[in-house]
Amino acid sequence: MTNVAFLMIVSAVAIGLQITTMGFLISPAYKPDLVLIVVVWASLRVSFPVGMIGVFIAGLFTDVFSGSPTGFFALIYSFIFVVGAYVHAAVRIDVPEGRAAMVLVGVWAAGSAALLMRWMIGPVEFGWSAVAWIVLKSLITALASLAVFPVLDWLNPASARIMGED
Amino acid sequence: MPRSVRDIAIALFLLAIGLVTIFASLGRPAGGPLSRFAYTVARPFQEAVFAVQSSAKGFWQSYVALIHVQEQNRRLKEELRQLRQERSVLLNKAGENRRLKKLLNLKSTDEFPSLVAQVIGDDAVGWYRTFLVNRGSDDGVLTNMSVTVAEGLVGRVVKSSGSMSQVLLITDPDLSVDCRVARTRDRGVLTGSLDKGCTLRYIKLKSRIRAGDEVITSGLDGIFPRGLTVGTVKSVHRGGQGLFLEAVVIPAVDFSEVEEVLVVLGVRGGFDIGSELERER
Repeated sequence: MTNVAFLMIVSAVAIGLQITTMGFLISPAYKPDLVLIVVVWASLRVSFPVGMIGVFIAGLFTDVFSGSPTGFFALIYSFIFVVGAYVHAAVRIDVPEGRAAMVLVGVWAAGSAALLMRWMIGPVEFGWSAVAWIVLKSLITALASLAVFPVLDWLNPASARIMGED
Repeated sequence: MPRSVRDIAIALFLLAIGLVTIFASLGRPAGGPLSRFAYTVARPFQEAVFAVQSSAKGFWQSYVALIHVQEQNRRLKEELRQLRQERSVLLNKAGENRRLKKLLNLKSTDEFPSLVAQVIGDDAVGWYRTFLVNRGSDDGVLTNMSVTVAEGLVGRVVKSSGSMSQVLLITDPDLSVDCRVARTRDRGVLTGSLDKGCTLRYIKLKSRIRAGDEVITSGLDGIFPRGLTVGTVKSVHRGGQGLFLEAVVIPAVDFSEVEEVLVVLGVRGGFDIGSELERER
């Protein structure tokens, strides 16, 4: 229960930062996806049922403050959570480089899914600009994760978990 | 129940809820209880942050402006004198224009009832080009209402709930606007583009459209009032397998500088804005 509350609070703070201050510091299109960093953090630190439910709700709130259809980011973040948890169980990615790589892949997947969804609805050019956008945003978010992960660990030191244990 | 089975069951359950939510939300105006709750909680914080940001920006701009303030003051006085003269001429023309339009039974877009709203937040993730404004369904703002500024069209409301609304910008590929080229009167459909501002599609091949032409709303899509400035044509090329022309359009509005917007309180474009409003007028 504590972990669900913690996840909700950090997700709310992440969304709050993204819709206000982050756009002031960096171009809105390239701002780091802080909620996704929280999702990857949860996939390494929080038990599966708690993390899955927390991440799903965080995704729903992200949808409320984004132009995406309701449920879109809830699904994407849940998917990234599941993949993150099982990749970590298989190859132990809980080192700074591994976490950053997971975030990089997560943003890449989220961005590709967002563009694919729009392409299904109407004409969108998939040119170099789309690739550059996704790659740049992935790199920026991965770099931001190097700073955000230690902060999350510091805020919730009791959440260390060995994958597969509840 | 084994843990692995339970985990899979949770994942499948949430996957099902997510898919049902997505398909239920497509093609339906957004703004349920979740949005209402989230917007109500978030609005005070966003307004506070916006106020601090505006103050900081204002302070910085004031400081920088002091460097050349004397020269600027003299120039502004001169401009003010000229603008006063121009204003009196324009007031006369506006009156004349209004009278003529009344005679022709046309409705000026300036006559749409509108509401001033403040921009208080960006898109949460950045994959979509939207922003949040501090007016919602409690103020009469509904989905599909168009949003403008003095320079031109900004976008349309896509989510509205309680005290906040979300505006999809014309630079987003999800938004389509039926437009006309002001000079040639050719029609086209404007959509946002990932790298070039906007693209005006489906322009007939015989069109004499060229760079520098102004693009305005046609009002024929049933959403946007007609005659709103959208942008300027930057370049023209053949598109759609050579069947139509396509034009790259630079929006008239600099979206990074928008702080206040006008929400047009009518959800039907063209000439009609609703019988109740018509009676009021």
